[in-house]
Amino acid sequence: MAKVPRNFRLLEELEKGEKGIGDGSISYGLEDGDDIMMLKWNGTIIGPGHSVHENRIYNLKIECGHDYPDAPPEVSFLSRVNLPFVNAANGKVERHKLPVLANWERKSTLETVLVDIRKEMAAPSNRKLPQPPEGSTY
Amino acid sequence: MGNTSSSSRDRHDDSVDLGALTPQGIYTGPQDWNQSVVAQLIIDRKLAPFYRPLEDYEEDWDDDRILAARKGEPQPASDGNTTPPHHSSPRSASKSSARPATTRDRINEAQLYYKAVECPICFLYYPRNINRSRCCDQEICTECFVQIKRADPTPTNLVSEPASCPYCVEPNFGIFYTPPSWRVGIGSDQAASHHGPRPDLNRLGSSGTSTDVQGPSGSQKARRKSMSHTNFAVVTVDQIRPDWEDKLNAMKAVAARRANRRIIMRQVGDRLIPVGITSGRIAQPVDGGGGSGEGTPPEGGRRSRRHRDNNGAASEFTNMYGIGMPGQDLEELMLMEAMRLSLLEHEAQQRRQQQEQQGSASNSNNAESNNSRPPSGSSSLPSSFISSSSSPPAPTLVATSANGPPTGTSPGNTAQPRSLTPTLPGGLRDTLPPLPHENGNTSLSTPTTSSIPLHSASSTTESLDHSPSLPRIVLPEGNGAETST
Amino acid sequence: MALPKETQRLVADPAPGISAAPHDDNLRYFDVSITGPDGSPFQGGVFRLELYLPEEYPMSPPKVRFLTKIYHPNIDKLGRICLDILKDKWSPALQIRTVLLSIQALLSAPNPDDPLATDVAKHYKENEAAAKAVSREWTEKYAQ
Repeated sequence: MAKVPRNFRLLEELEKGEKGIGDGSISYGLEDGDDIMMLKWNGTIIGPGHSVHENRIYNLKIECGHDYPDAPPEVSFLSRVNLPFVNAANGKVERHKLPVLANWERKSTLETVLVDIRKEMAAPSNRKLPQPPEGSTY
Repeated sequence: MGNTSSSSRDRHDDSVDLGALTPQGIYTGPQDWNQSVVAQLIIDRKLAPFYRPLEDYEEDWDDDRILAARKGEPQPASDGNTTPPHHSSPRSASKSSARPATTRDRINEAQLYYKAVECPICFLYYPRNINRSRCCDQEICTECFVQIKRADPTPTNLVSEPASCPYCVEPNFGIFYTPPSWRVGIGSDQAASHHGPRPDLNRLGSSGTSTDVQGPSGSQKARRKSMSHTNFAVVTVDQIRPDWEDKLNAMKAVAARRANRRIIMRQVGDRLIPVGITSGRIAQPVDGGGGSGEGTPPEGGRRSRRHRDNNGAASEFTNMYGIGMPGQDLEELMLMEAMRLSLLEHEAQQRRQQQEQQGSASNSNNAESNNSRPPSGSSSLPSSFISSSSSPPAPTLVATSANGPPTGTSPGNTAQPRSLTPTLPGGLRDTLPPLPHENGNTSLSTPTTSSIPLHSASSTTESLDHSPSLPRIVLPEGNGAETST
Repeated sequence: MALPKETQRLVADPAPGISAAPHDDNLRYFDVSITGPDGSPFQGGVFRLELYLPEEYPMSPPKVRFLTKIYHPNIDKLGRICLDILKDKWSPALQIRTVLLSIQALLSAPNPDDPLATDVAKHYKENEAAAKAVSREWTEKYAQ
């Protein structure tokens, strides 16, 4: 099976993100359109309905290192959030606590990461967690 | 020279003229052509068989050298770009052959490759008589030919252009094949009597085509004139992918659905929150998995689950609507769909809450009958919508006209089944089904007496109501809360 | 697929001003360099590109982009190239070599009417001399 190199893989993901994903409940793009190595990305998650996150918009920062997608990206919340897999001090998503990162596969993408985070937010154990004020950031 | 069939006429194997009916593994992608069509074309000798190519070729090579240069047999899960020729000697070549090989066979097979030609696409060498483009008379091996196809249509590009010739870009790419004058393998019995299943090229009379291209001393072909893609002897890319038109139509349907898709907004206070997307597929219920668009055909299991989840009325409603009211205004249908999807949005939550609050909604399983009652009055709604029967589950559809502000947005109001007052001008007077625990003997009140005035300005708002048993949809007309995507 | 063969030919018989070498660990992935054509604002520059042959190659075009920053109306900030043969005009009879020659030709003949970098294209259309000066500047700055 042909192995798509990092840069072309990220270009594919970028193009998909530019077109818009699904119903818009998650989105992502390059932090800096000039970043030819496509290291730093922004992500957005619209809080899932029927949870404390409903109607909130969460901003995230994603870093795709040089060994992406063989290695998972580094993901941090910029918006404050209370979730068991997010470091309360700095918003960093703790890799071993989020299945999609802990069990990273090459076929996983920025989209799958964001979708999984959003799913976790809606999980029964998380959807009622008390949250910091809307709009606060790390 | 050239007639070698005597050595192998008795064999009954899966080859034609020493080539295979199936690809030899040059390409690793999906085999999305119609293989039975391809195999038949090969047997009919309208398409060259899948010959094992030579990795390289020089004119002065002897037979052993030629056989050694043959590319390896297809390997499962080969990555396709690093497969070395694993026949380092003529002996191993015979070992891996599908046929019981003899020295004579090997020599025959080697002769096949005398004056081999390079396929300009895969850069591999093939017997001289492989396919040639119908338009510009360039070689193309069967392996490459079956890869060429129309570009798949996409929702943004709803045309399917005929594939062009890779060499001269002439549309309607097709090939012409001149089989060898001898014949072995499948069909060789008929060939022995010189009456193959298709007219022999000797008698086809195509201009300037030499029929014995096999012999090492065979005369050079004169350049053939271009042949029409409708010529009987030409094989086009559409012939081996007869489903291209179905694909195009399927994609058109997808695009039409997307064009009809709307984002459903929910009004919360004075904010509009997107809650889902209508599928645009009108006549069929959408996958109950969460209101995200693409539809799936109705399915008994899913429906019964919906019923348990108190959304049966909604799905039945859409279903009936599509089937029973084919002439309805599209926008109305859209709105119906929007309403239904909003209901579905509640489904997952309801399920969860029902699990948490076991038993509170356990008696809602008998919703199957909720569409059994004929519509009363002059309603243009499908009967299921005016679900009047025993126990339609909880979803409550509330429609008001532009003059009627959305009502009932407070969870506190939900304890009673209600119906909207029929005094709203032109409004949809609909009813609330009974709460599940009321066990369904509530007669449903108000048959609608006018068609639903739901047009493009209609909006779908849903009350902010997380009650597991009674989600409501409010449909004020003219609030503009539905936006087109 | 005949990749090794095409690669061998490419390496053995490179086109003038073009070199391409496959990665050791991925034979479908090439480091490419193209020298700016004489007479173009890119003259004197050596531009690095990367090229990848997808699974479907040669039925699908190779994927190519510039890694060196370049001021060109048909090449965007991320080095993506607007060239018809890399998209709908691809033919399986084309080769890596043809593609790279076409990209080299694109450097000589920018086409601001079919832009990918719209701001650069606008610049080229409104004031070609000034735009070319920027292209030269960038060539000196990034492509030496």
